[in-house]
Amino acid sequence: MVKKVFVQTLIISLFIFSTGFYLGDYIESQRADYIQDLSFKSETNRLDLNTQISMFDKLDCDTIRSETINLADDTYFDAIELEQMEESEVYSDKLYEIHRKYDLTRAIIWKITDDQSRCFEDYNIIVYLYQYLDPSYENAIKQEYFASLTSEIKTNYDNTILIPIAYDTEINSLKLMMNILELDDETQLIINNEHFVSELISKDNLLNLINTN
Amino acid sequence: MDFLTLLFLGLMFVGIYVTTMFILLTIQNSDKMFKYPIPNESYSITVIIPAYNEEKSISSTIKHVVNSNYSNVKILVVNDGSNDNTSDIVKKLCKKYKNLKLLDKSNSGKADSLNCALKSVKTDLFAVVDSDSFPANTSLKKLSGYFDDSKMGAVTSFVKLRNQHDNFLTKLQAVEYILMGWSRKLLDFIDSVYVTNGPLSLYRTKFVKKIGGFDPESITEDIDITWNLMRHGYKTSMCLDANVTTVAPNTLKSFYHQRTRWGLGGIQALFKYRGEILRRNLFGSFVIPFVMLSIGVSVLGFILLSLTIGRDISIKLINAGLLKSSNIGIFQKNLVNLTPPVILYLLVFLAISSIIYFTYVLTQTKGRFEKIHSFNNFFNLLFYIFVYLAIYPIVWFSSIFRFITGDYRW
Repeated sequence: MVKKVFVQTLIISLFIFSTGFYLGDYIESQRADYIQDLSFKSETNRLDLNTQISMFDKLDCDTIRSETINLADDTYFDAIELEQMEESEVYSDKLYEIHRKYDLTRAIIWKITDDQSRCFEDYNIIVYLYQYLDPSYENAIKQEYFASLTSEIKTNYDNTILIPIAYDTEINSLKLMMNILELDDETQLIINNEHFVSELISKDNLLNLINTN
Repeated sequence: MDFLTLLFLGLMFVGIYVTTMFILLTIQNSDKMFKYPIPNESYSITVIIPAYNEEKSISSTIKHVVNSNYSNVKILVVNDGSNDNTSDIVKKLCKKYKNLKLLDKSNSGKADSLNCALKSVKTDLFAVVDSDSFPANTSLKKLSGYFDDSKMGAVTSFVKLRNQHDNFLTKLQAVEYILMGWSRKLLDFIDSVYVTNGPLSLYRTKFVKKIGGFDPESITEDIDITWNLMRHGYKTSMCLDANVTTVAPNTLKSFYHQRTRWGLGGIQALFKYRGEILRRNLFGSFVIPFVMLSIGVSVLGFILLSLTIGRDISIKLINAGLLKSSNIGIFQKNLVNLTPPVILYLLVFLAISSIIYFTYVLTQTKGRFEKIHSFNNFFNLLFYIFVYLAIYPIVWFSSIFRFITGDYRW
């Protein structure tokens, strides 16, 4: 009688647990598929931009700016969704490779804004380099703050292009750019490729570094 | 999948297993919860009341035992070196009640007092009644029927609170006592009652003497004696319909002290009986692992929550402070995460199951214990599940610390 109860309990518990486990895995897969679809779109846009780069010499600034800003904004909002789902991901790490693709796209956007700086003179380019893998407690606090601060600036100032990039997802082109600019692997804000902020900064002090017109 | 996730899933499985077992036992035994065997013979009983500075309650306790509908009862009050009027009060009552005796001794603790009393006990059974607890007049009779089973070593009762309306803390404890009593009865159906409580429990004299009586080294002699009886193959049981009232701590300090002591006693028993684990009997294969898991899940769950949710919450709070000082909106619409981890669904499932089940238990017991437990406040139940149980592991940390440092003070 007693043994029977333990066995019955085990069977029911295994059923509930495995149902929950597979349901969880299924929900995560659905989320990953959704993000995958977004990344296909982003990948196409990135390839399109790559093609356009070869023609930049023949294009006017308005076109270059418009194409770059559109991709930067799309990538920014898609990546927020991606990161939120990554935070919730438990059963697998399917989203990591997608994250790298977004980082690559954002590295390209950063490169364009640097190469074609003449077209972005009236714009603020804020590159936010952050640690993706296992940030320390202190760094997590700093990154949470930088994410909110830059989001606030982007929301309030239309002439802001915000490019958050994870510096530790092994994107070689990004590493090369960081080497050229002599940047360390650390969480930091790069304002218009001129100002480098790696410590907590108030909103007012940050506004002093950007063009708020 | 990282280690913390695996640990979380492991804890979830244990939680689901225990909840399922209790629900299953409830369904299978719903008509037997309040039943008890009618005794075939009249056992002689000695009621031992160990008392230390209990002048306020000892008289009432004795009167409640005297008023019992069980006829064949002797009462032995052990005055454990009280320095108040406990002894004088009992002496006066001895003149009034012929079946009442007093044993005065110097202070040596509850277990030793019980052993002193046990030397003079000649009856078939003896009951232990805490000096601040009032057994119902039918309780001894209801408990005695279980001893028709020749292997029965101890039977315990259902404890109700007299002071549940004192404050919010005692209301929460009232909920807890009902759930504890109910779950103990469920464990009875699988022969695994692992505590015979101090307020009222009945023991077979011969068996307790055979196993050497109560352990004076144990800080919770009621857990120890039960485990010792189980180790020797004797049965333990619980009668949900035999009740006793007692007083629960009504300040956080006294509550914390009491629970730390209970926890310490549990850990002490686990350590003492560790050699029995996984033996081919219920005590070794279920009771000890069950108690170990209860403590382990509680402590690990608390650590896990602190490491994950606690870390996130503290980061958000610090960030909120930084944003406020910088005049930035705390809630960035873009950054609000509406995709909770799917693993939380298991936790939500467990929480909802618990709420439904606990509500059912309170509803079932309400009719029977209406005078004492008129509790039907859903908020208190939610608070009990989500706050009380969540922070209770702090008590375990304190008990573990006391165990490691050898602090066995009462």
